[in-house]
Amino acid sequence: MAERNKELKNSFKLILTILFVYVVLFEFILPVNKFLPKPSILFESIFYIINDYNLFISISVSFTIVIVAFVVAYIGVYVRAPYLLRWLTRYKESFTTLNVFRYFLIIVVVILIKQWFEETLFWEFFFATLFVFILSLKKLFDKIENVKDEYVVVGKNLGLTDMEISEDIHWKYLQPVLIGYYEKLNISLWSIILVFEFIGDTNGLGHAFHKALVYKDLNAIILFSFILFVLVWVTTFIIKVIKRKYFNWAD
Amino acid sequence: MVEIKKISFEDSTSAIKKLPCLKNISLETFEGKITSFIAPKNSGKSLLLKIIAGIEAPSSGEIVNIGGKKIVYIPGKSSSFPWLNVYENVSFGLRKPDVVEIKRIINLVGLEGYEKHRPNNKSYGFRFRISLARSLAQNPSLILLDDPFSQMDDISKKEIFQLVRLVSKNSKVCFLLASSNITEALFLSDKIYLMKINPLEIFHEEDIKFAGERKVSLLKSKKFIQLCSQFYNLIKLKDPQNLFNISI
Repeated sequence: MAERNKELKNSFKLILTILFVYVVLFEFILPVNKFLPKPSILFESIFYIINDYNLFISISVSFTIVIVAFVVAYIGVYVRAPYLLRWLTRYKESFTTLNVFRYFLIIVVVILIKQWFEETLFWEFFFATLFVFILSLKKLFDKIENVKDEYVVVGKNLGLTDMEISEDIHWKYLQPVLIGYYEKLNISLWSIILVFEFIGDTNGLGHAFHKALVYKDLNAIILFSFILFVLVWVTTFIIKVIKRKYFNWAD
Repeated sequence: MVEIKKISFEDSTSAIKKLPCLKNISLETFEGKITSFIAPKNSGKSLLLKIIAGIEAPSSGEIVNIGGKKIVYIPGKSSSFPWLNVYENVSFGLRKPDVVEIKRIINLVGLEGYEKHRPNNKSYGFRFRISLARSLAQNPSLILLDDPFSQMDDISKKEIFQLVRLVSKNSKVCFLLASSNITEALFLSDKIYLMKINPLEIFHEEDIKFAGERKVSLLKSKKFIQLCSQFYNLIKLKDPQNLFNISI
């Protein structure tokens, strides 16, 4: 508990320090520069930016897609976990060959999806969910070897079937590993979502970034970057809390 | 009672040469008694126990399980599941768990009051108690202990020794302990087999009897120390290359 509070305090300290340095540096020391806007001007323009860029809706769209993609992909893995794990162990060799796809740039896949399908929130959500689902499977595949042999031996000795071993031992063992991985995957998912929205230019925070770049609105870009930083931090924090509360049995 | 008759195992994974791992191993276990075999580390003890438990298949030989009840294997490393609490661990694998019986077993192994605790971040001794309780809940004819004390601290070890003796005495379960430590095997056992490796085979067997109940003080008695030295010298004579893999 004390460690958790310390981590939270450190994060707040970091955010406050960055804000403090920004205010001092660009308000008082370098008020006129080509890099960042003056904090007071940025503060004054916040309400205009929120209105002009429909910011609340954009944030809600991106944030909802990230969270729902995680939840739906996890439920997808959860529902089929015993079958998937059996399948992963059975077709280990052929699954390894799929690793070749890591050389494909995700941005190419995004552009292709955009070419193939209409620009709708559904496809954005579908793409995000598929991204998390596939990477979840890959993680399970990579980590299934780490399931302690003694647990499986005990399961076999007590007369569990292969399916029961997959469900009650492999899957249980891998759950905290998977949720821990989501902490890291979160950043990649946000990047992918932003790229998707940036190229599509119709929904979400990526769309707002696109508009701000077109208008060369530096104030808006800075504000969106800060909001993005906070959103990523909040999502990571939510995943961490869920892991600590519900998946805290790692050895 | 479970009888292990002439178990042999050959390594079929080696393509160049088949190496015999186990050769004609016959062991007897008795209700309410602890039988041990002492062999060096990495000699195939776990393999032999897995064969007896039915997890691996032998090349030849048979296991005669007279009672027809389960043979339960407790691995050397902690095998209590960290995602389940003590009660769930003990009832794991049972189709219809008997709540009263499980609570009795939890009390017997000294985990009363810890039913809702999970074993992660707990000591090896605590986790061994869970594994022992889970095995007892299966109502087995034989419990196989695979060198379980090597990772425990001295205090836990002594408590667990007493517990295993108590459980074996009060229940009608046979215990078979695989160990590479002469002291722990001697303290716990009613019968000991000594084995040498390449291939793993028995070269000596002996019934162990001490007057009165076995208490921790026995470990410091003259007779006990003499017997330890006697076993050590026997191993030194028969299998000198692997003496460093045996502890005393």
